[in-house]
Amino acid sequence: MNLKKMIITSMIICLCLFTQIISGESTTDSDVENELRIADKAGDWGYPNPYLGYARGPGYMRMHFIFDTLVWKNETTQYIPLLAENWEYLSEEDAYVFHLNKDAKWHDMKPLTAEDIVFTIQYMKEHPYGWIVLDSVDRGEALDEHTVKIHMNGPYAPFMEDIGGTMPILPEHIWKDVENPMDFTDETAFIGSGPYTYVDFSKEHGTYQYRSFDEYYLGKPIIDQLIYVKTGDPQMSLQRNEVDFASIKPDFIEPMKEKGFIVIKGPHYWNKKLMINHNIEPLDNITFRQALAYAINQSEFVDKSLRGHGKPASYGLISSECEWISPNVPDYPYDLDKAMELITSLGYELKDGFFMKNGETLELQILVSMISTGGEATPDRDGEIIKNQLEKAGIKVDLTSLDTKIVDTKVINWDFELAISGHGAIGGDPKILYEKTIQVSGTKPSPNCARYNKSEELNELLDGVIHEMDPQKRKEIVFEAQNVYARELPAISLYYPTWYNAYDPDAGVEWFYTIGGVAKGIPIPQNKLALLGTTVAKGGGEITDSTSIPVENETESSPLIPCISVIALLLAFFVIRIKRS
Amino acid sequence: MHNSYLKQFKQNKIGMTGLIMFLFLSLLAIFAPVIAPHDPWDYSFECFLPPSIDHLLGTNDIGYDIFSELLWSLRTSIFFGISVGAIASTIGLLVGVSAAINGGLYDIIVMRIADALLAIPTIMVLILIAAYFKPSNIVLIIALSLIIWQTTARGARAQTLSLKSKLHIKAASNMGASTSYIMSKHILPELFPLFAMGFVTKVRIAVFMEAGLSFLGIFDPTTKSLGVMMNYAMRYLYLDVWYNWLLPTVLSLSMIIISLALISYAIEEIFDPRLRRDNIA
Repeated sequence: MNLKKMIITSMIICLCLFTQIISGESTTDSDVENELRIADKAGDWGYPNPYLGYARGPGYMRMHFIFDTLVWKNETTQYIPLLAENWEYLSEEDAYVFHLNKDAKWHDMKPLTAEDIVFTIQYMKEHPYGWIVLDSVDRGEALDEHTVKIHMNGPYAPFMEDIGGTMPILPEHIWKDVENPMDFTDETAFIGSGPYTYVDFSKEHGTYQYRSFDEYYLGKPIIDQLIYVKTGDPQMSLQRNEVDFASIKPDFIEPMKEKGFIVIKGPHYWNKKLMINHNIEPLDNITFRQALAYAINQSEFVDKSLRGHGKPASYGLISSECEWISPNVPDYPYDLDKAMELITSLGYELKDGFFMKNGETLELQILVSMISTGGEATPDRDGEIIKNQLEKAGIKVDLTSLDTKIVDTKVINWDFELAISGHGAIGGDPKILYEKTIQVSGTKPSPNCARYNKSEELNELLDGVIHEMDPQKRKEIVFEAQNVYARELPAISLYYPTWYNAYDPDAGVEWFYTIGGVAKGIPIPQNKLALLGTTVAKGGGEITDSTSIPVENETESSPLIPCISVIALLLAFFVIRIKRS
Repeated sequence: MHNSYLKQFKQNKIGMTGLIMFLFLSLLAIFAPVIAPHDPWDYSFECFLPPSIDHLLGTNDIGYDIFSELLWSLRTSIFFGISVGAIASTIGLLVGVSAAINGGLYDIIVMRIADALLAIPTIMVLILIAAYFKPSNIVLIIALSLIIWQTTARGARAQTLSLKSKLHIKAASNMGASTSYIMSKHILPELFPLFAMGFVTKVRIAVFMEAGLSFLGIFDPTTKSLGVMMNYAMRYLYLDVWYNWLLPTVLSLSMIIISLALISYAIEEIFDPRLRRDNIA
């Protein structure tokens, strides 16, 4: 081997080593870039901004990674600190004082101050935000840079969940000049104080992309990139390792567990219910409504419509798994004889299998539609089941399937007799009992609200649910309100479906269902605290430093390495040829 | 003349195959209440039972006997198809002939309505109707019939205009025959091939449309439908129940459509001499 060959060989070795150094540097970068993908069937839930997101649970969830609230909830504890480190209620002044986290910053690195809270309250009063009603709040007052006092118009018991834990705080320096928030789609519209910054949203593809906010006051999130992916079959995408989190079908719980996925079972915070037009005969009669309750077999819905993956509902509206459930809610166990006896007591006679009165058959129309649960509208068997059950009790049923929006309109206009509907938020603050029972004058009617204002006893109790500030007294009132609700039955809760989600534990995030649901009771297990590490998520106080999760073998993963090696070899041969010539 | 058409149809193997298939399915539909081993609304059976002697195609998600449900769904599809075919073809024929005979403003108005209907997507109109009215089979039959008559009307009008200029029609008219006499004795019999073609085509469209609408969720929940069966079966494909639930349903719908297509082809071949296979030269 002569000198030339030795020089050339050394050059090749040097180049190869050089490429290793280069690739080593890129490896360090890619090591930090770990990402997590969540599958979603619907995809588009609006821009992840308070005003542009769709007013549905998934829309709020897309936004909550970017915008923080004053307080939050985790798996086990209601109202833990978020932007507010601590707080107190001044009963004599009817005001809340929040002490803000001094490290809190906006994504543009400007400090978050008490003035931002004051501004958000004022702005949301002027530009109503769908998730909260600020009628109970008088004004905000900045006591100092990091202390804010919120003056109330009167006692408002659900304040912490309804406003403190749901109202996203807006940066004053950006929003103060925004006249119409619905038209504000500028990049700055997505500057918040949450653990993730906005990167991209594609309406067409239904994808969302977020990047971790390194300066987040509770510590850097453990996942650098968070991506929502629209997929036709979320479960299949999870099985193919295309995503790390997806909802799954109940029949696949065991196979998914066997494949190493963690399956989480949702709490029962969503109920299917029978809306009743209590303004018309015979549905205006409490005894008749009780007869309906006896004629309905809730367990059959669970067995047939849900194939066992659900639970019969409490007749008091509040979820039986909620801490606010009354221990004495009146029950209506399936009893055909009792149902028929009650109907007979109202002057009806049974002829040819159906009840009759004044020569007319007792016939009720039931409106059914494809109710969207979790963003997916699917037909179900509830209409067929309830028709069968009521006809067994001698009530002829005219089952009518219509578009969901038409059913909602008919219910709002009282142009119905019975309608199958459903809603969530029954596991959080008991104010849901008020919201779904009473029609407040001046507010838009909801198709899920019974609008049962005729019971003075219930009205009084529900007023107490909203305004009683003493926790123990409020609990007693909530219990009694449920008992009266279940006795008078302005609507009949049928069942709670059970939802399942699965995730890949290797992705490094331990997802969980939030107690009472996220914010105002959203039963989606994508709480942002899960992305801050187990300690925060479980309510363990101090935040541990974020640790990056190794993705895969770095040297193999970089496409630069083979390319540069090939270039180095070609360069070496080129040098040899020049030398020879 | 018509006896000769019937004779030709009997000799047409394609047509006879289609007719036999359709008659077989129609008989199943007519005698569904007798043949069906179980009440199609009885969901007391266990869910997802595999095929057995008691349940020839097993049971579905709620516990219905799939075979019984299938027979009743066939009944709905065929009744729906024949009803729409008969109503729409009759409307089309009457409108087309009357427009050709009366002419003038009536002709212009009626034919422009027909043109407008041609431009409107049928499924969208039906979805809108179903959104606001109870989408019962009767409502859907009437709605669909009122939307798809225009092709028959255009054909009938053109054919009538052509017939009007024929010598025997003119002779009858000159000899004092009334319009109704000319229509019933000379024009309508000549339009029979057109009517038959239109009828079969519309039955096919209606069967497909009913299944499609039901599949999309626009259906009367008190009737059984192939589309609804497919909709539910698709939701449980992952449970390997496709072979006893989805496949028989899809095959049944396909058989109805294919049988009607074969009949339609045969009729066209008989009435249009240019299409006859022995007339190629």
